[in-house]
Amino acid sequence: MVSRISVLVLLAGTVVTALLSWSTYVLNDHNESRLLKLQTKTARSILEVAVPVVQTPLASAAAIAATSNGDAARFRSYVSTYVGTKGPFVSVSLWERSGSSARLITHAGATPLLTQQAGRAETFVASAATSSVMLLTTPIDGAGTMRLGYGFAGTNDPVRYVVYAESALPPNRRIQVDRSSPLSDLRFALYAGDSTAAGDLLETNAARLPLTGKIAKEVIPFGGGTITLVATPDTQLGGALSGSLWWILALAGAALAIALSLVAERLVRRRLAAERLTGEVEHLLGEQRSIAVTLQRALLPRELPEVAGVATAVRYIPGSDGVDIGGDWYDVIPLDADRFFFAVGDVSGRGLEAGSIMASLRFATRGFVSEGHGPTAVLNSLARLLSVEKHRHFATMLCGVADVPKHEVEVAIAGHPPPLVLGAEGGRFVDAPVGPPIGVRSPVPYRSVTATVSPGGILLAYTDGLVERRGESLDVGLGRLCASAVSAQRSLDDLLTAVVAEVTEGGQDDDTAILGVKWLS
Amino acid sequence: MVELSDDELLPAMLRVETVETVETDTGSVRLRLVGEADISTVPVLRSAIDGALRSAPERLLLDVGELSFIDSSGLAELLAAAHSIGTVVLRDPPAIVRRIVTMSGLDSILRMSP
Repeated sequence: MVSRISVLVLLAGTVVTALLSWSTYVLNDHNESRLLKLQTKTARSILEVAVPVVQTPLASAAAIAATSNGDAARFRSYVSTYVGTKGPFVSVSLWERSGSSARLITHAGATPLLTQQAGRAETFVASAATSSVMLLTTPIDGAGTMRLGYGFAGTNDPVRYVVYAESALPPNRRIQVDRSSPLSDLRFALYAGDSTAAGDLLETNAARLPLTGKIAKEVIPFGGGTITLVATPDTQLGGALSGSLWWILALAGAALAIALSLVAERLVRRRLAAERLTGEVEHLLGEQRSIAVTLQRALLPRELPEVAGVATAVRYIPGSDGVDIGGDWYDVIPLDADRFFFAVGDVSGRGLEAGSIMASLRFATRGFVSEGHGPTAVLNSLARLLSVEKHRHFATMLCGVADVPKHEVEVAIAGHPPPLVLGAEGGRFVDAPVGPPIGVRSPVPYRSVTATVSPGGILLAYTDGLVERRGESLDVGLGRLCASAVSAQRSLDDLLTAVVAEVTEGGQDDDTAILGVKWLS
Repeated sequence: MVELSDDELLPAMLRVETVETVETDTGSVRLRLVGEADISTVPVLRSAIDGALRSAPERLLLDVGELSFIDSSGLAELLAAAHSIGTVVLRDPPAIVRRIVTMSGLDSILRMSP
């Protein structure tokens, strides 16, 4: 399956290439037309120069004939320099006009071809006589050779003498143009008159006529008539590159578009693969998370025991990634009708090891409590079970014994944040001496203090995840906890929900456990 | 597509530098901790401290003026070192670090100066 993006890239590349290529083509075409016009104009000016070359000797010969009364010898002697290989003509003749007919007086060079066609010479000479300018014949076919004829009338009035000349057209009317000529880049054809019929062709350098493609046409006055020049470029007038540029661009552009499309396709595939991989990782993490949660639940009390006179509630919030099992725990152990033991603890770090240390501390605590130990004795006994040097973990713990009817709580702390007591007068943290965490050898002994909880009051014990934030002092976190607890005093459940919501807003990366005890009277 | 927050893309960084000291008191090794010492940077901290303890110094001096956070995993490394050689001194601890150490009841084990 090819991705949509790579198809779009290919499409866009093709469109851009086509536009570029097309505009280059149009530009080149326009340029070629301009150059063709320019070269044709150059050719025209060259041909215009040829007019006097033909006309001047004929005009002079006509003048000599007029002044010498048609003297044949003088005429021949003058025109002989213009006839043959040296001059522009193969034949020059002098004619005398009488009425509507004409008579050949003399000629120099070859016999005029025109005389071989009955009556044609007389007709042409007669019409030349009535023209004040030089006249042209159409090409004359004389058994293999082709000639073009010119007629020029003398200056007497009425006209008596007419000079007629013929110049040879190239064999087959095909010519070679020198490479250095300004016409070398053109294929052109010259026609007598303004038609481009095959019979009017004077000369051409093209192999085949008529010329096709881009055509320029110039009609050049020639004496009394005209010569028509038709030209088309033989090569790229602007150079080979300018003519090829459009398809070079097209090919390069197409190649580029395909390459880009392939790159896009590859990127899309990689992204898809990465997304698939991320999905798999997410799935695995999700599985691990659910395993961690299941294990954690198994290690924590399924539900807290009923204790007369108080309501208890807990919350456990896994850290933001929740992949590893945490080391936080809580417990409530009834002692007798009036008293119960409670504990909240936190093993440093996370993972299976932290979890198993947590479990052993929790169950050891239960054991020591069942033997009748109080809070400080429990902490002292637990201290023997863990060594930070050996396990690279230590644990903080808050534990205490609550006497419900007396509204008293005896609390001992091992490196743990102090419990919060809420009453009608507000909230205060129990100012208990802090002993070292479990697992840390210290000369400082554990000591307990006794705090009172007013009727209807609440005791909150928690782990540091609730109050600890990066880049912020613990006291700020403690203050926030106290403020949110005080403002949210309703039922115990609502209170915990509100505290958790407010305190964990913005995400907390550590596990958090909260235990709340509310005196019902 | 899983959205990753900046925190996840840029895990907490900890840099530990050995501070060359001109003190003639050869029984001390001095390290400077810069950044955050938490569960994700524990390997960096542990290998630096293990390296420093190889010369069996009597005291480990830690310049923690630029340590912005330390969690229980980071503390566990410092405590393990304290138990192993006897004295770990945190020099110039920021208020945040000082408070964490105090509330964890560790001020008798991790000495803080000034």
